Amino acid sequence: MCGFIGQVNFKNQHEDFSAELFDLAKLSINRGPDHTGFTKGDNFLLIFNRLSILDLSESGHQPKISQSGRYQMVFNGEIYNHLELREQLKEKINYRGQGDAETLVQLFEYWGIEKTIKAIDGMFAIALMDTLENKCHLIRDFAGIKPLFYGCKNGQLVFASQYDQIVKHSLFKAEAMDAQVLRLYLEQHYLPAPFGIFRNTAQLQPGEWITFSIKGVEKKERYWEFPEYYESTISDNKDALQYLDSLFADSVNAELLSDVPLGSFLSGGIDSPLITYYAQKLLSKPIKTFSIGSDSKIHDESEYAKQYAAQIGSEEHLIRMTADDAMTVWDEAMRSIHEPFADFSILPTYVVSKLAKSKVKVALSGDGGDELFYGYERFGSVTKNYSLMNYPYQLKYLLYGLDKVVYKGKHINSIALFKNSGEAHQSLHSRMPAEWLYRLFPDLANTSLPEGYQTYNYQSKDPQALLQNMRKAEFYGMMQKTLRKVDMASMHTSLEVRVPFLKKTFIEGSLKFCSGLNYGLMHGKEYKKKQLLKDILLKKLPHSPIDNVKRGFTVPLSAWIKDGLSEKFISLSHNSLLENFGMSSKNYDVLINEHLNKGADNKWPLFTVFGLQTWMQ
Amino acid sequence: MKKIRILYTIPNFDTAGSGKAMLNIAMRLDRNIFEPHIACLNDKGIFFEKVRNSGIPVHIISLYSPARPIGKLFLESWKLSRLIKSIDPDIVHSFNYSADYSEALSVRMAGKKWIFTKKNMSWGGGSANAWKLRSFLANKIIIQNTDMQSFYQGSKKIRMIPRGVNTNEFYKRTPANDFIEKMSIKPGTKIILTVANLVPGKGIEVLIKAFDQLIRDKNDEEIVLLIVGDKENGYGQTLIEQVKNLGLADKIIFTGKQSNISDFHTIADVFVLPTLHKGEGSPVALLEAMASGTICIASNVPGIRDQLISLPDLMFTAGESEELKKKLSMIFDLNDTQKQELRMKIINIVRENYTIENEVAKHEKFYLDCLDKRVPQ
Repeated sequence: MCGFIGQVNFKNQHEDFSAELFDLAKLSINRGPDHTGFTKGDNFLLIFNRLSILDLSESGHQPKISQSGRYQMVFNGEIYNHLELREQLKEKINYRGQGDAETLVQLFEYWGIEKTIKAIDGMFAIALMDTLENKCHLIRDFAGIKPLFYGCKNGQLVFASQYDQIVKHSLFKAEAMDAQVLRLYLEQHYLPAPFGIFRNTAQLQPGEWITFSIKGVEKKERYWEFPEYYESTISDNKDALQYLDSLFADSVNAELLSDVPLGSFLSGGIDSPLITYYAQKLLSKPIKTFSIGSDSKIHDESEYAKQYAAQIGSEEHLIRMTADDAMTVWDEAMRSIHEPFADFSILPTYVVSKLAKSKVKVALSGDGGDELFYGYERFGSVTKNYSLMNYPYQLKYLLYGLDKVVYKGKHINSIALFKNSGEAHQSLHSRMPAEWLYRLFPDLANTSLPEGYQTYNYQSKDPQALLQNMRKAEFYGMMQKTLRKVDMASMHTSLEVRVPFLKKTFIEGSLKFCSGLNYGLMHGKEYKKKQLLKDILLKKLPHSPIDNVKRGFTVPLSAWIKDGLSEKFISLSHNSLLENFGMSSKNYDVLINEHLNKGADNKWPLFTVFGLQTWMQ
Repeated sequence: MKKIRILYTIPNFDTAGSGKAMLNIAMRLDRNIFEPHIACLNDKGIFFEKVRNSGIPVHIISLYSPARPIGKLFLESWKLSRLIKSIDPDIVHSFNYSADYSEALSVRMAGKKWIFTKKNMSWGGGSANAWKLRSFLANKIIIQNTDMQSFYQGSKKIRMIPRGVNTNEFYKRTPANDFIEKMSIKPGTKIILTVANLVPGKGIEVLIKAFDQLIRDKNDEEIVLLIVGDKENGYGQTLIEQVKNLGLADKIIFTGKQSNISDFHTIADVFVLPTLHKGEGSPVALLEAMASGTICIASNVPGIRDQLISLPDLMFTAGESEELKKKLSMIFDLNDTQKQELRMKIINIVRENYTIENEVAKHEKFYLDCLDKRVPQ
């Protein structure tokens, strides 16, 4: 977890842009408060804010320069297999420190870029300046754990760890808003890669490598992509559990590499207890775990988290918060948002990150489990009526209506009414009713989504293929939003969060399991979800309090908007930033009024509008 | 197998230069094969702390005898030979850069091998015969550049081992923030750097003159010259006077003696070593610049010409300020790709030939050859 910003002027050498860039670098100081370093050439400047995790000495500082001086690099993240890769170059390189940044820059020099990025496993955002060929390479990790934004025009490139650093740069601050991307944000509540909400700004996709030169974007390549369809090779439960055990052991072990205190997030669910269990097995002392409890009986899982902590033997740290307590950190948490973003679970994520940072500098998380092992309800919702998808709409509507009347909707859900599964899947992620989208932003009425947005554009020949397509869509859809939320919340507290489920070898290993081991399409019975994870958890922790209810800390945002947050939301009317985005303040007044005074629950459209401007404050 | 004991001798560690060179080698010898010892006259000087902390046994003794009368020379040398026998080195390696030959005599009387490192190009004057005698008494001589070979025509005693640089300390890296702030140099300013003991013969006055000519030509560019070295002596004061007379006190900065030379290389655009005709032994200051990836220009004199032999365009005729100015201008006019290519070549030269590890390995082989031994398997 660190932050960087850089600029390259491919055309006009000798321009001095240091003052502006150093100013913008301060915006990401929370990401890396331990040290700021920079390297400068005639036409480029790289600035790095470091959060020291590996090799705490000066030799761990960045930017890094390769042995011959050709490559100059900034890199945010961790390369978990760097020691084994470093060993392969030990005859050629006189290493000075123990850190992965040094390993990485020397690998680039000796192996070249392609071989290196295919060999490394970890989470990373890399900017690599080739001073010999006057090119700049931006590289993002395959799962999208670390963000990397850029703006490019007129032979100039600016790149950074935060979107606000790009749009506040003088080159891009006057750029027009992209209406298609605005629509995408309003529907999905975050900015999916590769999009930026202002023209000439963008972000790298997971697993992408872009080369910039005087020609602009010279080359774009996805060096790794989640497969659309993967032939499963493990269908036996026993074999699967054995293999899964080795995957966990390997992945968690690799991600324990740290020169600073490390802990783990621990919920009452399945994924984080598993990660914590494996971490504790490898450590000689009790691992510190961090949990959050709420005052909601329905959503609180802190009791389960406590049970897990006791079984695992971890040193538990629990913060029990009421909704009122959470309100007091609202402003602080909202300051962690640096791009258009509207998921208010960022608040509890921020709170638990802050708790963790008070004790450790690195935390393991259980993110990724639901995507890889079919943990969401929506897998069932969409696959349930797969056979009806190709029926004529009128027939589907009739059947749907009949089922609703006769069986109270037991057999056919509204998903069946969509044109195709992809569209249905996409709709499940949108909390902005179309009616309000068009009323608030009337200019978007004839605006389509960006052509490059293809996450939910898939065809499935059978339910198994559909499941796999959905899994891939979740990987590049919802999971990216979750990872972004965790990145922003944790970096604001200067905490590094690691994701063992998303180590490359773990992802590729998880693809081998037959989907039936995790997910059951069982008519008349409850769907099983991420069954393998439950099985292995029960094996390792026999008294695990597993049920099929997905909980999590939530906040009563609807009530808050009526109460303590009302002023903040009312003031969004006639906000100049929002009006520049094309928002109708008149209709916004209707929206907020209905919420405050007419019993409507408009929290999602309201928060989506809130998230559109809060990051620019 | 019994380890090979090398007794390194040096008068003192008052000035760290030659002492540092000696200690660098002694500390890096393979301890499975070699056992270094050190002998010196006293334990004074800040650098001696490093010697003491190195773990290498140190003998505070004098191994020198008065040259006259000759009878006393032989008597004292005989006494010293007994002392040397008690230490029982296999080889005594002298880093005394004077023409003393009494130590050689004592060691030979003890029946031990004596070698010395010829550091610089001083041979003649009043000590010409002393050098000849010193060389005669030596079993072997280490020379540091190819030009020195001419003084030992046809001799089988010599072995060339150029100096090496510590690439853990000197390498291409980003500048430290606090150093940038301390230097207070305006962003975009081009920096010419020279590092030297400020003594006559180093040619700094030539560099100053060339700099003066350069900034007249490039009057729209911000360029400064940093001169790193002790300026408190007579020569240093003469240089300061020269700068004042040229009206360049705001562009030529005398930093005085500095311990963090590697930091200076992180900000330098060009390093210049303008030594005059007598030349150098094997100038480490130049190697430090090269290892740091700093583009270098230096005079075409003994010592330097070995290090830049594959880059003749980076050398100029010693004493010629106009030629030096043209070289500097040429460097500033290179485009980024050309500069980067040059930096990479320069770094490669050091990595292949002039690292401290190269230097130590050559010494180890040399010691084994002196004793007709092979590396134990």
